[in-house]
Amino acid sequence: MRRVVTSAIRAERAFSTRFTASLQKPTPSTSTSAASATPDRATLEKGTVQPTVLKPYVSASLQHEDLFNFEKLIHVDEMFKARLHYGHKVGTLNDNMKWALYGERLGVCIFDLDVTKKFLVRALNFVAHVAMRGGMILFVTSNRDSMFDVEKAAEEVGQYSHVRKWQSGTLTNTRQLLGASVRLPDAVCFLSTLTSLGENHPAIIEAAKMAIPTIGVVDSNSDPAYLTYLVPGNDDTPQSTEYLMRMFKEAVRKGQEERKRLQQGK
Amino acid sequence: MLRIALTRSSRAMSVASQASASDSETSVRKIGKALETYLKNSQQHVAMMEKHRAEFETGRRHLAKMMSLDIHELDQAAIDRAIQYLFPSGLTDPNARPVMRPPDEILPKFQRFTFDEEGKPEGTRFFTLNPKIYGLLSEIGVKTQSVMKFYDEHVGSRSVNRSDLEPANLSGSQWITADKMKKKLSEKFTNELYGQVIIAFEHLASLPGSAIEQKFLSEFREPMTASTGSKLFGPAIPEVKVCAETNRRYAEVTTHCKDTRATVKVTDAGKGTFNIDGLQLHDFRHLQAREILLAPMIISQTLGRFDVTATTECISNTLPEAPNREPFKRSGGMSALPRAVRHGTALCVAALHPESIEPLRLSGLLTLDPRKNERSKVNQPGARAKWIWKRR
Repeated sequence: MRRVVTSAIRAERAFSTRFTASLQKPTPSTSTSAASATPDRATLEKGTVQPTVLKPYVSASLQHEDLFNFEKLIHVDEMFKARLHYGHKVGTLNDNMKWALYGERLGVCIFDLDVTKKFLVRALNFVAHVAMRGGMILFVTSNRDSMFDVEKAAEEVGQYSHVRKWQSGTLTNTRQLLGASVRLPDAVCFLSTLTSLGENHPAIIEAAKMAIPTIGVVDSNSDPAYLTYLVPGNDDTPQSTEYLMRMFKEAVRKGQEERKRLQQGK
Repeated sequence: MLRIALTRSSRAMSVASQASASDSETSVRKIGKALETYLKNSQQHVAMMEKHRAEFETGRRHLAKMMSLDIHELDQAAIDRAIQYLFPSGLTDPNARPVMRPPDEILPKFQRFTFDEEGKPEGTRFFTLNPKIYGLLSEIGVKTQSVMKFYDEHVGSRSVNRSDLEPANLSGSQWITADKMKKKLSEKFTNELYGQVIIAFEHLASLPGSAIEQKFLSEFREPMTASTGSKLFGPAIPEVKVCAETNRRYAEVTTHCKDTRATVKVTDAGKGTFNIDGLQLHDFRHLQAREILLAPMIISQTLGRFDVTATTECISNTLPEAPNREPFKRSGGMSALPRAVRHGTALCVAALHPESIEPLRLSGLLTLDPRKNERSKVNQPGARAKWIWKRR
């Protein structure tokens, strides 16, 4: 296992050295025409184990770290004002969340907002890419204070929300529950990953089972396992949820605008 | 380290899948997959239903032939009788017995959704599985917040009406039932969800200042009288008809008491005569029987106004069990036959003379007496009686 992982990392490093040189500033308009060639069968088979070998065949827009320029949009002081840096009491800290912490103040964990910014940009970039390709994004929260705001925000950008009791099998067993197979969301965004009982939201596992990429706002007491894109930060305060929802909405809007522009260009 | 690397590789995997979808033509095909499956299933369902309907029609024709009936005479009731005759079943649960019904009634319904051209389901709460009821819950929640805010802002000021700061006035009405709410929202949901909605409504209505949401609340209220309209136990009050020949109003109803079934016809503007299987009132020698027969007229104070015509029969004789058995000679006795006629008469009088409905109902004459002769048990001389115990 470790051998595979290290080889994956090595391949990724090799790739990044090879491509940072050749990557001339891609613009969103070149997104559809960049894939140069199709990979041969051997590469595809290798890609099932080691996905990074497929990276050269991916279009240029996807190679870009921050295509929609979210770096400019996000400011650390705004995040600070939105109270994104507050974690929970030190005693509740999840070991897997230590990497995102700056330190501790009066017994409360404090997030490193530089780390949060880096990861938030990544997540927003992904959201915008999904929206650009006409994907469906499901916003999930179990926080009762912010549930109406999340629903409203999702409705405003024409996406989906789920802030209620999660019926098990909603993603894995749609055929039985709805009577027909339906198109599943292309990304699930968790504004809080814990239920009121402090357990992991059941949708996390279901999304992982269905290979749906997830974005999760993880607090200091959350478990980041099975989430694809992490956003370390406070998930309990209405202000922080409002700020994050505003950012996600902005990302979806940017993606949708880009999509409209591409469709009109054709 | 290991975990981070893994997430990184999985991230790359999602990127790769995005990439393969990014080619415009393939992406359209990929997105349309769910929609395609749905359409295929929908067409399959329609075809299957067509097949079953045709099979049902063929079966109906065969059944008509077997029962030597004309195909037009064979309605659903006739089919049920024929199935009961051909496949006699002693199973206790009626749902377990053989049936023959149109496929639209029996087979599971195919759920239809609305999609846009990309296969995206409609409605932002689609994945909650109960979008309408959860939408209503959210609406109530948002309104609750706004009412609280409104009250806090205006509680001391004189800028708003004093009556707007009161709780909503809901007297004389109640929340609509679960069935009505299901119909109103056109969505099925569990009783648990209905309970949640009612709790949310109650909380909103109890808040000071909820008077501003009076209109919204009253959409989900119904007048109390509408639902408490007393429902009679047994047959309902019949409709009044007019005889074409004599031009007199009459009402007719069938009821029963113990083993006696009585079909009673009461005619208005008569002379107070009785005709029960050809017998008149004075033919009933027992005083109890006469009192029973006259009771509805005495209570409604209409003695001498209505003519009563009744025919009675023994219910046991009409049952299908043991068809070769000698029919009973007996009909109702001193009490049961007049009581069967009395119930029918009271219902008809209530129809012809609506002012007396309430006194008749209060005296219990409009209520069916459901008691039956208890069956005798095997190894016993009667229903409860036992053989005398004797040492051998």
